[in-house]
Amino acid sequence: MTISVVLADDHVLMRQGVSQMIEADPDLTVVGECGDGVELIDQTLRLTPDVVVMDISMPKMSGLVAIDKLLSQRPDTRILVLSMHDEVEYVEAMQGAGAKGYLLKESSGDELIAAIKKVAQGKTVFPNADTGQSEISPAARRLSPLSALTRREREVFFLVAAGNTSKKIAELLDMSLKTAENHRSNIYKKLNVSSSAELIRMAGKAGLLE
Amino acid sequence: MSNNSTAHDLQEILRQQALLKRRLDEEEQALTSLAKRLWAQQETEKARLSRELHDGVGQLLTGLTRRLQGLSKTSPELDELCNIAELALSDVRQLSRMMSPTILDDLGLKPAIKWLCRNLFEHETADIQVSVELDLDIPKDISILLFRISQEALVNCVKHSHASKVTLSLASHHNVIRLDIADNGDGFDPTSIEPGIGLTSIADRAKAFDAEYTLTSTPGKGTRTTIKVPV
Ligand SMILES: Nc1ncnc2c1ncn2[C@@H]1O[C@H](COP(=O)(O)OP(=O)(O)OP(=O)(O)O)[C@@H](O)[C@H]1O
Ligand SMILES: [Mg+2]
Repeated sequence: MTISVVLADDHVLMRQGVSQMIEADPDLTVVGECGDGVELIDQTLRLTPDVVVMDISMPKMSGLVAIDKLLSQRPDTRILVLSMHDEVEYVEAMQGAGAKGYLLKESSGDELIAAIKKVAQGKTVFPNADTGQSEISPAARRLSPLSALTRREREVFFLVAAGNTSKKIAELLDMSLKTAENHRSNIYKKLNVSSSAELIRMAGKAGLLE
Repeated sequence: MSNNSTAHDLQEILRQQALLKRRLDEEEQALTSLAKRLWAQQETEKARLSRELHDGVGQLLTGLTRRLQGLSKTSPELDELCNIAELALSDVRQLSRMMSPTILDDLGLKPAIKWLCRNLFEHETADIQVSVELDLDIPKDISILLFRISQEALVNCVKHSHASKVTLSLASHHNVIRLDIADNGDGFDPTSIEPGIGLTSIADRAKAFDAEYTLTSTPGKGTRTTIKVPV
């Protein structure tokens, strides 16, 4: 049993790439390709594919409106959205509109094939809910991020922000490597960062880097 | 005879007044439509810059990140460089999206506003509460208007207010949409500040769309921005 697919994306190169990936799998076949929402509806109603694979941003009719129209005319249409947007609002909107799956364009060919097959079987494929909420508690970052640090920690903070390694910091502040690393990990904990990169960015945002 | 000529004069004055009034209305209309066109032009320009940022610096940083990722694990230092490159890439993407929010075209005003709030307050100490209740179709230009005003007002809350709580509510009632953004922060004296681009652009945009705009702020008592726009 081959699974038939209609593919909609206004970006021709992208569409060709995806089409080739799908065709390369013996169980899948592309029965229609189109570049806008209006054509998508027309083709889907005419060709009745097992799965629709579609982009969101398309000319003439946006993907969201197209999904709405498709499902009102053919409620059992199985739709897999293929999108460049990794934001939770996108995933929620598409799920809410009735899509059966959501996959990022940067996914591998294998992931795409697997997703199409799942959707064809009536299963759903959505990324793990990444709410984008950080665990940083508001209280942990009062107005000056440095107020939570001891004087020694502040010195270490600025040296880390300036890009120094723990070894170098130990040297500069005349302490053991172990102590320097302890300070560093305490600072990370207090400021709720997990790397020197994050610390630098945070320091930059707080206007602490000259 | 003299009565007649007075009546005639009066009629002439009234006629000229009506003419002037019509001219004035026309001028005002022309100005409003010019203002609207200028805002539309600015959005197009921002969209172009946003694309350039995304496709230019964004692609370079993507390339850089990929190569660093390929190298990393060989030393902790490389790992850190890789982290910095990743952060730079995500900042550029974020900037590009803020500049031209495709989410507004793709999903509409409600998700776009939620997205805006989430992004602006993700790393802030303040809590943001959002409520959006819209039961009518909003024209594209009004959506952009409401999105941009929200953006300016919220960025001000983040930058200046030191608030612990910010609320945004957007609701339609009959044919009027009401946008309300309030913080419980420092507040300021509106008569004594130097308005920057933010407050000026809120006022100008509101005017171009015949929207009613009120800014209330009191030192120590927070700031509230209210917009009522007819649809
Ligand atoms: N929510 C707020 N809480 C406290 N002060 C505010 C708030 N909003 C505005 N202000 C004050 O009003 C001033 C003018 O704001 P405006 O947005 O016009 O300019 P800006 O934010 O300083 O710069 P920009 O041109 O980048 O917007 C601010 O500098 C600040 O002093
Ligand atoms: Mg401002």
